[in-house]
Amino acid sequence: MNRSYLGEFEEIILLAVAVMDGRAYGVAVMHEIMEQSGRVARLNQVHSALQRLEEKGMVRSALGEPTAERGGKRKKLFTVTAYGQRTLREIQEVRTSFWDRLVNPFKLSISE
Amino acid sequence: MKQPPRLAENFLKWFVAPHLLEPIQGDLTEEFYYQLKTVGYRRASMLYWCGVLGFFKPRYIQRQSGLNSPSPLFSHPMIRNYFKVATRHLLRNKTLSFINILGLSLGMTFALLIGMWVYFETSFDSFNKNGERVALVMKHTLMNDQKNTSSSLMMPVYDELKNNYPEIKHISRLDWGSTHSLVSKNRKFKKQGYYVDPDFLRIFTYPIIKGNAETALREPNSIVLTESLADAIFGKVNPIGKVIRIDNKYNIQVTAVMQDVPTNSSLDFEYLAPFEFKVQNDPDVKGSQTRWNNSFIGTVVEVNEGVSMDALSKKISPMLAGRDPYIKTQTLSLYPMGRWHLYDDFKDWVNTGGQILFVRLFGIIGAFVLLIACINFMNLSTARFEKRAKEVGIRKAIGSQRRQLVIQFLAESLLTVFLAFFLSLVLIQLLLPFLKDIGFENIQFDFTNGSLWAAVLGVCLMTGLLAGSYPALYLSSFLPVKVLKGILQQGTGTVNFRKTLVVTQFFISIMLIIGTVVIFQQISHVRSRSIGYDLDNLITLDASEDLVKNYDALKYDLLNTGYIASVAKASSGMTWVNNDFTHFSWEGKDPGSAVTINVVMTDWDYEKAAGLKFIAGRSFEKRYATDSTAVILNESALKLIGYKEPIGKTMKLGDQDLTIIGVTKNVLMQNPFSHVKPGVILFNGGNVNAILIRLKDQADLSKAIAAMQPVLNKYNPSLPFEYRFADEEFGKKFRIANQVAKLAGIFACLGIFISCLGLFGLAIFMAERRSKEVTIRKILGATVTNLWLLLSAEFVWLVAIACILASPITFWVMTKWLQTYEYHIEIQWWIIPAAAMAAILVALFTVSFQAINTASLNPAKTLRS
Repeated sequence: MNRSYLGEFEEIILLAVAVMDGRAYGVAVMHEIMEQSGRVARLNQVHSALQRLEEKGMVRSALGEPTAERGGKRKKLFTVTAYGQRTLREIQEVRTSFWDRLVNPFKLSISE
Repeated sequence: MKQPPRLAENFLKWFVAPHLLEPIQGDLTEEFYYQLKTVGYRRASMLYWCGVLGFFKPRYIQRQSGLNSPSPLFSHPMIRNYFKVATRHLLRNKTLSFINILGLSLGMTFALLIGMWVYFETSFDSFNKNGERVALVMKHTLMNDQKNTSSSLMMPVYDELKNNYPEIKHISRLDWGSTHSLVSKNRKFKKQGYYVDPDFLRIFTYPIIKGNAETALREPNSIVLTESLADAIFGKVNPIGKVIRIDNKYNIQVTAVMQDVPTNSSLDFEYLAPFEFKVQNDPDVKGSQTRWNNSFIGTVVEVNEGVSMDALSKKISPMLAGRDPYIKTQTLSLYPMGRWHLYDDFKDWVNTGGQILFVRLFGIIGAFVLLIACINFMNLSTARFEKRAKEVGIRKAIGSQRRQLVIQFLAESLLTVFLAFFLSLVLIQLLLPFLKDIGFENIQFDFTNGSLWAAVLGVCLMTGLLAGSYPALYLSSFLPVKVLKGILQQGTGTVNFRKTLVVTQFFISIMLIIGTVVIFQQISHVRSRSIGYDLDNLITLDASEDLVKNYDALKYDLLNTGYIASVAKASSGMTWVNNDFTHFSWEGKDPGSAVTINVVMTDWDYEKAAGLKFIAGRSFEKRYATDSTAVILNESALKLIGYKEPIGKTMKLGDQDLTIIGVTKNVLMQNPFSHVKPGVILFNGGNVNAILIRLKDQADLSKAIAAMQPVLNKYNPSLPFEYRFADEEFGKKFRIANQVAKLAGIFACLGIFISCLGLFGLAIFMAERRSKEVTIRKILGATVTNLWLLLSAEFVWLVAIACILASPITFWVMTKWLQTYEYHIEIQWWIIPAAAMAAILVALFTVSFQAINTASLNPAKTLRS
């Protein structure tokens, strides 16, 4: 496995950034995660994960326009890089291949 | 609308790295407003706090490094830039930079020299390990209604102290140093040494190179040499155990060699010999062992640890009471070693001050000169402020921060200061040889002394920061908009400050000029006073035992050389007096008064050798056998005694009747600045300390000396042939006065120079300020002369004010100073206008340079800007 290791939380964040498609910034990502997964994410955790992802080259950032509800401060908007997208896809492929090889898929139709 | 908690926000701003701050702050604020709507203000605030604290992690706190940080004050390229710009500025105004550096370096040279001198003076005797427990015993007496203090004691004091005071750990007598002949094989020396007790080497921790300090002075016939004397006598041979013949009489053995006495030692000698040797061989000393009325030795003690010096001093104080019936009031005290050098003055029995006064005075003057030099430096730096102001404006406009400008200006001043410092090191090396005779003979800049360097560099840094602070803070505060528009005025406050400074500097300079002139006049006045004898062609020899023994033959042979007019022996030479007697009495003397009279003892031909001038009577003559009880008075003595017709009358010395046979003019033998004290000449050929030789008027000096040499070698075989000229000896009495005069002269020159610097800075400033005015005047027809007068008049006024202020004060101070001398001049009135004129001329010259420069500028150039 020659790609960078991605933590579970980082993976969620990266997915969130991908889903939000150009509108991803600290607080928004935090809310998205809380809504989608119900887990509590703290802002500083989100920020440091985004920072790490940026250092690894999976996201890229740009400053947006200042808004009033932010006290006149600009947003730092994140988008997923090609490398980030490839990484997400690889993770997805690895998982799918494991799921496919599962003999008895636990009767996972409980939700239905 | 409610705001996020201010404190939390400020805290966040403070700790989060600036480049991360904005999105974080924005996110937190956004979250706060979101929570405000959902859960209310209190919970939102609390959550905000939690959010802020969540970011309190190294990841967010650590500042970004590298070139992109917003204020690279001390990055390598910036520092290089600061100094590059500073160098360019120095090179652009070469004259100004030169004057600036020279002025500052003179101030620094002066301050450093004084600092080194103060350090040397305060280090006296500090090499002694037990210094704080060592003291000299002093004797206080009441004589002639005067309270005198002396370090000369009677011999029994030593025994009393040694035997009865357990507080004393070590005690040693010392004679106050005397010169003796030392001969080893064919090498003859005449050297100064002390006779001391064995404890001396325990009290004073002079390092011993060879031999044992404990036993070195135990045997009476032993001697401890200093290293350089041992080298001179024995060369490379080990001197321990070698025999030296002293005074051509006794053989003594070298028992130890010690390091040369350091220059910062109060006691100075080249060898030590046991006091017991003196007791055994000198009948006078032996006879004085139990006498309470013959003071001639010093006594130095080291007290035990834990003993209070003051308490012991009080305890020994009454020891002398009732010992000498002639002197009723006599006490003792201890004089601690720490005070020997700096507090060497006793007034009314109290140890007052002395040298410390000069140390403090010069210390203050040194600091003051440095301060003035710094202020001048500031003035010269700010003088061209308009030009610099534009630079500041442009720098600020293209994004320079104030802090960078401050550092820029400080770098400039530091560069100047360090250039000045290196120049001052060169100056110190050049100047030191010329300062040898005013107390700097033992001072040198020790380049290996780390703490000295640290101190000096510290002073430089301080000077640089101090001198650079004003331009740095003032110039960097300009608003770029105003500066670039050209509306910039320095307040009148700074102008007045500069003017005050110039007046103060000239005030001091004028005082120093007048002071110097008065001191020189006083010295030349005293030098030319009538001294009552003939200084020229008079040679003095120290009387050795051999010379005294062979005196008659010596005199005969000397007269036979043909170069010599007369020879006499006396108890003292012409430039000092060895004896004061208190037991004279005469008709009408107030029995209660204690009077001392100087006494010279001699036999025949003294008046011829000395060239005395008689007002009445005659000198001793061989044909009168009764002359053995004759006495000759000087004018002061006659005045004291009060006889109308003195010749033939008698007075008494103790119980002996003396007949007055002559009266001489006053002979100045002691302090030339005092009145001549009452003195008498007694007929006594037994007390001889000097031999006076009068050369014939036309005698060729070198031939006369050559002719004398074999005669003296014959009769004085153990001593090298040494002689002194009376006029040179007399000149030595002016050593201190000459030092003062020289110092005052140096101060005056320095003062004038520094004042002119200040004036020059002010002139440049004013010239620049008024350049447009001058140009317009010129266009309207003013000549260069008109303009020169216009620009100079202002400064001449300042100097005139300084003159008017300085004159009365100087007059008062110098009158007071002159009154400390009994024999002094009155200040002549013309000195003051002369000094004032000199100051004004110098000032005019300084200013004219700048004034004419400005006046002759091309109007087109000045007005174009």
